[in-house]
Amino acid sequence: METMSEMGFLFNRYRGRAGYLLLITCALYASVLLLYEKAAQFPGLSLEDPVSVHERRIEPLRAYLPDRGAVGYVTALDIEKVFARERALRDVELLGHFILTQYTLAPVSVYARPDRPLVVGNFIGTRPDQALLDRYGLVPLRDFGDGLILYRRKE
Amino acid sequence: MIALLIISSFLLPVAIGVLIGLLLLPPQNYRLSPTLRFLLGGGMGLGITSLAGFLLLPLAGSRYFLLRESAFLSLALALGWLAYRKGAFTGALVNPENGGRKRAGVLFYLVLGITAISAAFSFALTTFAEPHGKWDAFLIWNTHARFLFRSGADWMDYFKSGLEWTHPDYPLLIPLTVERAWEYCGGETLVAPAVIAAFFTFSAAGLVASALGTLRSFERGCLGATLLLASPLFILIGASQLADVPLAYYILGAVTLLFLHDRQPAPHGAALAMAGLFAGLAAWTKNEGILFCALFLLVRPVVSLLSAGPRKGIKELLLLVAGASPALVVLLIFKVAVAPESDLIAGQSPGGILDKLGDAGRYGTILLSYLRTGLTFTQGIPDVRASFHLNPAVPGIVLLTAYLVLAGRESDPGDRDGIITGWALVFFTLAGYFLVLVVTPYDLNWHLLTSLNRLLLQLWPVAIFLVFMSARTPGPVPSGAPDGKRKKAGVKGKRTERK
Repeated sequence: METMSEMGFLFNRYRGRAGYLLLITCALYASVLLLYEKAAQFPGLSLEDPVSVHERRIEPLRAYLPDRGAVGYVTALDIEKVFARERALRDVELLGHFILTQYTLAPVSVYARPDRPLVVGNFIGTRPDQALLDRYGLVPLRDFGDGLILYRRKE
Repeated sequence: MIALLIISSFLLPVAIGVLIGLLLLPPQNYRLSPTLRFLLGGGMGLGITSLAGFLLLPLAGSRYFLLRESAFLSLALALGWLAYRKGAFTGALVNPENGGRKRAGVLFYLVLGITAISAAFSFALTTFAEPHGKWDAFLIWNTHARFLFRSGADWMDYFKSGLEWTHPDYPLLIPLTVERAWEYCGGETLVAPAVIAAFFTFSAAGLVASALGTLRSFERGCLGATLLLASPLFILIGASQLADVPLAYYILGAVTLLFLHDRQPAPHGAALAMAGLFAGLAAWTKNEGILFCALFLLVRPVVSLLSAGPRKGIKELLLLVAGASPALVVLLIFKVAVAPESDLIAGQSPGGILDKLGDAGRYGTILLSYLRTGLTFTQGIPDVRASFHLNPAVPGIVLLTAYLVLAGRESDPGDRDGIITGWALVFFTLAGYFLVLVVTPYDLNWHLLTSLNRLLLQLWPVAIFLVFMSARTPGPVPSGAPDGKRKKAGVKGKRTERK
């Protein structure tokens, strides 16, 4: 009984300090762990990040687009499917390309459908689907290479 | 050079914010450290200049930059003159903690220093790996900044463009702050959004440290900031240039100011008005901040009404609304005259919403996700395809609860209303997010997986602050801690302990 009371006394006396010790230990552990993880990734990083690479790839388009206004967009899949794949947590790559095209070309608005007079075709690692291009009446205006093609839409 | 130009873009906002802070909370009445004044004033100033920047946007394209900056310079000079006339500079640089308050042991400063340096390096490495920020940064915030910066006089075109997937309905505090920094630099630079992200991230941590140091003890201040800086998600999302950490900063600032108000012997309400302004700026940062602001304006007066009667409740409501009104007026103009309808509302029919509200399965899914994410959200950015994995050693809810159980609770009667308001805000904000998720037009699992950790992160700094405001101090009570303040304030009451 006395031992229990002594333990209770010790617990009450040191509980606050034990709380501090617990926090300090865990905080140092988590902090150093995060730094270690980030530092471990560092040697594997390329000099240019993927967004900057994509920006550099899209940038030449600017010279062929109006300063303001709108362009359409076409890729290997219908854009609804591109969004659906992202929503299903399956694939964000094609949606990422679309988002980065808008990010790069602002203030030109990039619309998800290829129904504008000028249409940006983005086909990294794939070939344009000729049937899709025919359906929307898209005629190549300039091929920038690496799957980036500017189309004109036949009226 | 770029860094200097970006820092120079901060000078006027910080000056305006600090001077307003000095006028509203004069050093004669509010014995605050210069650090706390800077940390509150910096974010407040950036928020105020973004509000004014929005109102001046119709001038964009001509002499917008010169006119806007001249207006800010005039405002800063006028505020400085007013502060000088009112003697608000007297004692502003005196650190009140030197007046007898027991300083934290070297260990606490050392731990905070190590954690802060480690967090700074982790932040820098994350920024180096992703200088454009993460997905939502280049989908939303930096894209908005680019449209504003590149469009000039045609800035309205973007909001009418129908590009709903870029969320043009989101408030503009961050995009306008980035755009302003770019104007100082004479062009776009990736450094500007990164510096702004760092400012808010480390200001939030600094605010936890200095607010707890002022209100409770230096030890708690050091530990609170250490815990926040050691929360991996806080650093990673902060470095990702998203608006969640700036929102967390404004939420924390609003709640902190309630405590500063309550600690006054004869509060004249200016701290409450400033708290209202912080809540308004939270609403101007992100749509979730609108919910927080509405709750803030409601919960605090109700708590005061219940504890001190309707007169006090109504007075506090008026003060909070007065403080929030500049931001709310600008937000109203933005939402009514500029922004399209929110994606969470657009296309939803009342019948569809009712169907979702009546679907018990949705409640279960969200509740389970709240539990799982609540236990793990601070651990880092999750792999949405990976299974649930809890690491209790990483600062999070488990560790904070364990600390509170070990330390025991100890509340100062003077802080009672602040603590009740703070926890009620956390609870009702989470409940509000819950309801929004129930009726979301998006796939529920996708919405939960892509947003819930960030929603919880918005409340993480204030949760840490509230826990340290309620936890018992180990050993004897240091002089200058709440008891001392209470005596000085003439407030009667005893510290209540619960084990």
